[in-house]
Amino acid sequence: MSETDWHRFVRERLGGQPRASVPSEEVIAELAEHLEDVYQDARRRGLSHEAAMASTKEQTSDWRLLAERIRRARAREDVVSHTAKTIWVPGISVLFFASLLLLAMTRLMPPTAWASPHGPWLVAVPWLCAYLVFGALGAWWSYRAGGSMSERFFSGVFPAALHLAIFVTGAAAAMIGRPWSSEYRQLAFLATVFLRWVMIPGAALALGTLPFLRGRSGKAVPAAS
Amino acid sequence: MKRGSAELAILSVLADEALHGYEIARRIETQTSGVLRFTLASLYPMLYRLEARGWIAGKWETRTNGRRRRCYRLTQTGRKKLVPLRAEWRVFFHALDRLAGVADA
Repeated sequence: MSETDWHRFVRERLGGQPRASVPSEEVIAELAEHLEDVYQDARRRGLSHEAAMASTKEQTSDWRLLAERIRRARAREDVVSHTAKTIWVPGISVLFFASLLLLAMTRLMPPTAWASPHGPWLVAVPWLCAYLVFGALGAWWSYRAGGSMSERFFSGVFPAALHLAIFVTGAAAAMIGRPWSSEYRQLAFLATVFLRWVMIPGAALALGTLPFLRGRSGKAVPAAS
Repeated sequence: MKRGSAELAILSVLADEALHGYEIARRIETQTSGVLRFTLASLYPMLYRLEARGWIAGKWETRTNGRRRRCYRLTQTGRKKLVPLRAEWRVFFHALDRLAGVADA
């Protein structure tokens, strides 16, 4: 069968699939080239035309399944699945727990605790300890899902994004809102808030990830990531 | 073929040079003495998956015989992925060997 015929061969078998699964002309051309090579190789080995054709057609028996697998691979479904498992699910889950903690702290801590001389320490120490655990949880979760070192780190420090978002919102409100004192617009004040509200919690989260950043992924058997 | 082993095989042969699909399959079959074999059905979904992840990159090239082929090469990301993948499999096989004594089988 000529090279052109292999194009028709592949197109006929893939063309009958559901529209969403029909590969592009580029894929058809690539598959056809492969079949041409298989056929030519079989002929070079001394097989007759009929035997070479039969051998070549054995390259796949289920064209429907092949079309679907190609569609999924090119649609990046597996990539999305991997990213979801190693970054977004652990990161957003830890973010959820951190949000619950922040909400609980603001609702359950008596107002006097915030104002007392030891208030900041009564709040900050358990808060940062909890963030050490959250960072470790996110990194461990990503580690078990087969995440790389950077994916584990990102999952663990993801709640810092919440802090950053709150800081940016507050800073923007301070800049444009009239009722706010000019003190809140000063750079030194904003830097202090950024340090205490974003950097320090972020550092606690990052510290929590450290035990899970070294070594290979947590999967017991090497598998496609 | 066990999942994960297919990725290792493909990334390993592409570590040396860029190859098109049929060459990849033949190189793997030759270097494993026929133990590992890729057909059209098993090879191309894996190649496209690796390309979607950015581990390999495909490009159409015209060969000396005038035929156009889509050749794949290992990307920087793929090279970084290959190192821990090799290490994982080395550990896995050593563990199997300790368990079942398969090294000299």
